[in-house]
Amino acid sequence: MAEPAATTQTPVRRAALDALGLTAAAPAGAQVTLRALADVCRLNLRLDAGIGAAVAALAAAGWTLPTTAGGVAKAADGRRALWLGPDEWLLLAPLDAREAMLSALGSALAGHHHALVDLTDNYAGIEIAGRPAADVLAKGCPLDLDERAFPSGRVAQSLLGKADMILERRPDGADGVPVYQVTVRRSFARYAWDWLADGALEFGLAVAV
Amino acid sequence: MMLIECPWCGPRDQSEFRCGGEAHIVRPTDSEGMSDAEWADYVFMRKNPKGIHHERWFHAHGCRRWFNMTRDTVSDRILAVYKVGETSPVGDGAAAEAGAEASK
Repeated sequence: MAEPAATTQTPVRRAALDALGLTAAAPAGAQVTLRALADVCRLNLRLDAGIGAAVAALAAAGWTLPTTAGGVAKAADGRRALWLGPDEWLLLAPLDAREAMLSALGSALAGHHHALVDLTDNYAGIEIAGRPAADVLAKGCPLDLDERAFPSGRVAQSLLGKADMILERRPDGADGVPVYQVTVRRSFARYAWDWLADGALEFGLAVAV
Repeated sequence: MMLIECPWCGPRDQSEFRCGGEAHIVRPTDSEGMSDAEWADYVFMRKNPKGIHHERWFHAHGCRRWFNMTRDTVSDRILAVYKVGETSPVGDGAAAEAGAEASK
């Protein structure tokens, strides 16, 4: 029996939306742009009762945790902490910061009762931008997306169609158009993408890769 | 469509929530000395009132926290929303039940 050919074992990362084979498209008059977000590191952080000391330890390490419902705290280098619950946060960062973040957070939280879980590949991220972006989302999301109720820098967990969604309103785009970041479970990536693309059809859909 | 005030997230659509049935049911401490009838009462028997009812609700598609609600089953009006371990501000004996829950 022949020996199997020697192969170089390198880990292969596939973002959840890679399977869709998306190609960039910008038809004339498109008002909504969808973008598949790869290379986002996502960590879930849970703390329990003595939250205060752990929050202070994290603040010293450069992570301010939002403590009001729906809050988003920004840190340096594009890192953000999203409020998910009274003792739960989602920490976002560029993917190449992942190892450094895990070790930095781990040492900052040493001695504090916590759970820090790497959920990078558990989620898929989609960015939807454009003046009618809220109208597209509102077709399947019961949240109040009015400017007064959901301005930039807010996050909420809700539904998109039948999929659980973490919806974050990002800073407006350069030309003042609203930008939202949709985070869904990886297995709902295609569902959420198709759902948003279908909802955006009437406004003209552009795809950025 | 009904708006439910999650104690953590604020008013959200009913579709984000799941009802967890009657609230303030205290797990028996003397479980070894209980008769089958008492077990059946604890496990299966629930109030089904016409009027004020204390219920557990779960913000399933939001913050995933459990909380309590006092609801009028006739009008479907939500009379109060309060956190687990707290006592309903509305009510017909809920204080005693909640007290029993807290003391266990």
